[in-house]
Amino acid sequence: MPEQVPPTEKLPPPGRSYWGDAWSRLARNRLALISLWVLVGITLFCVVGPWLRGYGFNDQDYARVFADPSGAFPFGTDDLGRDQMVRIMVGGRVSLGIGLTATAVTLIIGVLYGAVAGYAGGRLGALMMRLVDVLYAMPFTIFVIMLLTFFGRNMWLLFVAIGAVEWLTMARMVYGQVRSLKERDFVLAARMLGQPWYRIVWRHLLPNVLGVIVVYATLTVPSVILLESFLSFLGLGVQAPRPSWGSLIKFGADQMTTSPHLLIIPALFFSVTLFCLNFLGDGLRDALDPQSRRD
Amino acid sequence: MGRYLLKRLLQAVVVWWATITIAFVMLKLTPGDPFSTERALSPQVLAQLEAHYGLDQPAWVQYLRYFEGLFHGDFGPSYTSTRSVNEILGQTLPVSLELGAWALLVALAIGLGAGTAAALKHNRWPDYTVMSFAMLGICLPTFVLGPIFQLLFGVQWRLLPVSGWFAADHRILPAITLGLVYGAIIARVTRGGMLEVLSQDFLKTARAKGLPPMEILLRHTLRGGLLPTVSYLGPAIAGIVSGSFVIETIFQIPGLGRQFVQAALNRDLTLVLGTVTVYATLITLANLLVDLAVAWLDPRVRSHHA
Repeated sequence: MPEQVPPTEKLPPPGRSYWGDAWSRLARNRLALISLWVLVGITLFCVVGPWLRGYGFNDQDYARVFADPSGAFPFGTDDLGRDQMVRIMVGGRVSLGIGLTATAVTLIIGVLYGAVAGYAGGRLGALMMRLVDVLYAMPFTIFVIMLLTFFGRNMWLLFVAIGAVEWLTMARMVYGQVRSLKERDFVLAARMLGQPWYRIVWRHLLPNVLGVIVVYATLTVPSVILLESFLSFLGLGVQAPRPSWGSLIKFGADQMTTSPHLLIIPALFFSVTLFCLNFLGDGLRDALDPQSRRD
Repeated sequence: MGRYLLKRLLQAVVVWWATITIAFVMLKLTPGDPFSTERALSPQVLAQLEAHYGLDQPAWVQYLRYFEGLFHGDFGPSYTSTRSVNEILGQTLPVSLELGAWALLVALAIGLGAGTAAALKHNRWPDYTVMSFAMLGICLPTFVLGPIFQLLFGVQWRLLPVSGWFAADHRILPAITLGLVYGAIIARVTRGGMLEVLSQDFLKTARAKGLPPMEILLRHTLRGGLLPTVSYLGPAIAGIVSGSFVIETIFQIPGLGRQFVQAALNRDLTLVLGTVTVYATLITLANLLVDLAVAWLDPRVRSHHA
């Protein structure tokens, strides 16, 4: 027989907030924390680095073409004698920048669409999600390639194109969450108080979905970076002389028999970044949405 | 089942038609005309060219004519090549289909094996090993893995040819590079699906009845456990298609993927439209087959949608 708990007058311990709770869970996940610090390091390296490096990303010098890594040029130089280190930094700015911007586009479209469809529910909601199903089944990479080859390769088109591809998953997630939330009592109460639908969505539903949104946004960043680099590798992304990690990898792949470091170093930066973003996303999922843990 | 089938078939037709239509509209909105070269063509030549390609007709007539041609299996002439689009597709599609089939085989062999092993040895070393390699596979996309494999196996160790598409050993590196990423994802998906099933009560019953472990695995676990894997095959095939753009460029394989990228860069609009049509057909068919397989495996899907 378990011991009877004596009745007490003590109040329960102060509750911890959702975000404080999540943070302490994340802080216990060593892999996710290391990933976070590595990402901070890479970001600082890419953002601050070019100012300290003393070379521009397009400073050419034919006296030092294809230099091997050395003290003056830790990552070597390329076919035009440009410092490879500063090119990787600037390429990182581009890749990370597109990762964040396009994810923001994804967020705005996906969250609004999913929330509206979920709140509307019924026929309209089902119809809106059927459209997402149809779009989901389409070969979007092909459209993006066509868009970029036919309408010119500018950065804004790239943002929009990538954002337009990636919003579908976000819309689906938010739709599912909002649909189950809107049946809850506090939404009913808000409706009885005469709140308009957009206010209910914005004030009562979205804050409750925020955790899921943060998790999927974190996982969208690596897939956006992947797509941008994929396009840059094919020569359709960021235009020369401006580098991106994808185009640096492509350039390195062409020179690998003579200067393998031109391939290996950018590939390393790229892969480590993807790695850390994925680990961080997984860690955030465990921290913010403990029920979704599959094991 | 009949109603679900009909619904699914209708959606497939809509996706197929919408894909081709969007591609067509994009081609029509493309700035500049397809025959603009450095030398200005005389108006007479230009008019003849336009009449030859049917460009003197209004856009909606061209659109209807394109579909009319499609139903006769005619993709029209190419803008930049003397060969017809049919001929080019006929030469490049088999190459890409072969590459894709090998890649899918690699992905399934690795993914199913590793995923099942990880689930059966949950939270022990095989599980950790498989999941670490899966994460590695996901973060090393084809355009990183391909050149690195070329460098190691082709240049450094001289074990395999670096590029081309002639003998059997030319297939190995491209197929593995293209399949590995999807193998990694399939391993994760399979593991998740198996774990979900393994925790269910009917397996306890089966074990309590004293069924041999192999029979439990084959008859009771795999059917439900593989459902997520089967559903993932649709996106996997679409991914292998877009992966082939990069792989065929890296390994210089004369397939449809490289042809599509080249055609887009050369603004060969009819060839682009032809390849998009082929891809739309392929991907729609694959998705349809996958969904039907899922419905056949999982009665809940049929009843839910019917």
